[in-house]
Amino acid sequence: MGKVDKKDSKRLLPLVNRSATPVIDPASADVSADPAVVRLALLDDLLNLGRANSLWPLTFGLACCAMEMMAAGASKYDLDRFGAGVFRPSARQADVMILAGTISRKMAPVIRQLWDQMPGPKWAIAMGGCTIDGGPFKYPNQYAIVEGADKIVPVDIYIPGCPPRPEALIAGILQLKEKVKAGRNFSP
Amino acid sequence: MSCGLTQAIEQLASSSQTSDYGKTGIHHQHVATLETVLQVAAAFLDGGYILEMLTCQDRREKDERMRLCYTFNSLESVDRHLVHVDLAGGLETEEFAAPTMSALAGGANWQEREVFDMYGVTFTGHPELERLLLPEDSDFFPLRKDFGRIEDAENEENEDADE
Repeated sequence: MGKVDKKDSKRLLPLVNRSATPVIDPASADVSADPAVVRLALLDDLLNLGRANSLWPLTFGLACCAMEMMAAGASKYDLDRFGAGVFRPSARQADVMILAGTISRKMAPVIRQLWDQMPGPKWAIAMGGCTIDGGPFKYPNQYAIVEGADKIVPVDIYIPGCPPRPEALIAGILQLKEKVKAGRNFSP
Repeated sequence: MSCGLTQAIEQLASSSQTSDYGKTGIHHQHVATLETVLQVAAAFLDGGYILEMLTCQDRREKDERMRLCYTFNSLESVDRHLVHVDLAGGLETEEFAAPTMSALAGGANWQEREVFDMYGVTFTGHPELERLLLPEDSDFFPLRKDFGRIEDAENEENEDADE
């Protein structure tokens, strides 16, 4: 750790002071809409807040979209900023399944098994054109892929793109957080 | 290619000819039968060649045959040999069989499984002839020319729409 010199401490001082004084005076202001102020909440709301801010995705890539997912998890885009960077190698510990890539028919039962192994409440994100409806691999009489992740698992968020950029995945995760906070949950 | 191997191949194969490498990517082309293909393969493998590729062509519609294409190559000097084996049978023929090469060349194991997977050619004597790429319960051979043509599916859709 480096020493904090005078110049730095000058810059930091206002920040320190600011964090010491409350932004809103709870006695006078209307605090119902402000999440920064702790209020009496339903237990479910509180739990959902916790769930939304610590989404644990399953380490799990299917095709090229997984590259963008990895980029989103790495330092440049840093999914950890949103509490969703803890990729778990075990389905038993994960609560978000990011379906990143083409789902082949042979892979489909494995994905369903992983989904069943995940403890609820759990959510699924369909990332990219392939998982939305088959994407570029969809044509009459095709035999190789599943046309859409929602044929296997209930999907909460669809992210279009081929593949979507990491920003798009982050936007999707932020949307999912809103959904989780609102208590939306299709899975058992 | 050694002189002995050349002679052996020419004796075994039904026909042998040189090919224009610049155009076809192969140096020599041979035709073998179901009876001689294993001997031809053994001759190549004993001569230091490897089984580079095994694939199949569905020629049932035009030529009444399914054609296996074995490619042998040498690692010492590039010398690629293509061996054709024809399996007779028209469009209505469903079953094709050829002897397995997996006992001679280990690499043939999965390649034969792939050909079985995609074309439905059975390799007799294969230790584990199961689906390689497609799901185990598949009941179709997608690279056969009469499998699921896009035009057919579109015509069906149009007919449904007309009704």
